[in-house]
Amino acid sequence: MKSSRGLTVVEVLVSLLILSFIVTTSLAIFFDRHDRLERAGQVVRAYQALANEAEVIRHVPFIELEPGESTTFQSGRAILYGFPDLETVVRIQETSIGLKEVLLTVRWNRGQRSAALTVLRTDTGGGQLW
Amino acid sequence: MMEMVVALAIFGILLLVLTSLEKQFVQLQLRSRANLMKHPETSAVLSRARKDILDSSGYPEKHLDFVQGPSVLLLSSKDAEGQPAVIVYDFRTGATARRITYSGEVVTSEWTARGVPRYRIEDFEMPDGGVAVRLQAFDFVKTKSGTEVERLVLDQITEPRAGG
Repeated sequence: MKSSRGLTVVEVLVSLLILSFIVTTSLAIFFDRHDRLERAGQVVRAYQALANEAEVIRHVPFIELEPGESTTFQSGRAILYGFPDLETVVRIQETSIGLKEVLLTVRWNRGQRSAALTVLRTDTGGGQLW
Repeated sequence: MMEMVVALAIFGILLLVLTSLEKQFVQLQLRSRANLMKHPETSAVLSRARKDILDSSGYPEKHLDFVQGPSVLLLSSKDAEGQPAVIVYDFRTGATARRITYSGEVVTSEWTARGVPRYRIEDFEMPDGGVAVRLQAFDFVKTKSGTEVERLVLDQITEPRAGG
């Protein structure tokens, strides 16, 4: 004779437990994806600002690149609009005679997120390399 | 009765998942800078413009009916055979970006990108006195209140490398 007995309470509870585990994991993944996409967008914009500033730095006469640190991006920071706790840093070091290293940094989220680009400049005697 | 309750509960969970995904999608649309669903050819225009500017040797003031300005970029360049050419980027329509290459008054190539944000061209003076092209793209983004605001989505400064 075919049994018509239904599921036990334990079986139902275990099934619900598995189902709720799958649903909560999926939701957590989707929410995490949202944050990651936002962070990726910020990184893309940060590198746009860095690339623009690097383009400007390439055209500063070598002799005018004074070693030190400043917070001004000559190319502007409009593209970085909306970054929380935004900070930009330009650090110039003379690593050897005729060679200067310009480190460009964008920091945001209280320094938790950052993007950086280094430009090496050599003394070409005033002319451009191209 | 029990089966109905369980089935409805599962259906409710599915609805919850779908609505939360939809909510996320809307939030992402609001926050993202370049709406690539609306503007799929954005990067194609930027990369072509960047290459053309790097290879150019100057900015003519005028060519035929085109005048250098915030929506028209004119570049002096050379074609594949090394002959002088003028490249025109025409962003006047807003919805399209046209790139036309002229050899004299003859059109040698034409390319149109559809679905692009609104581009604006500015000159940018470099510290050594050179003049670069600042190509910016603006998108109209709907805020939570439903109004559309203009937002800078792309910003690219490029100076020609050809050296004349």
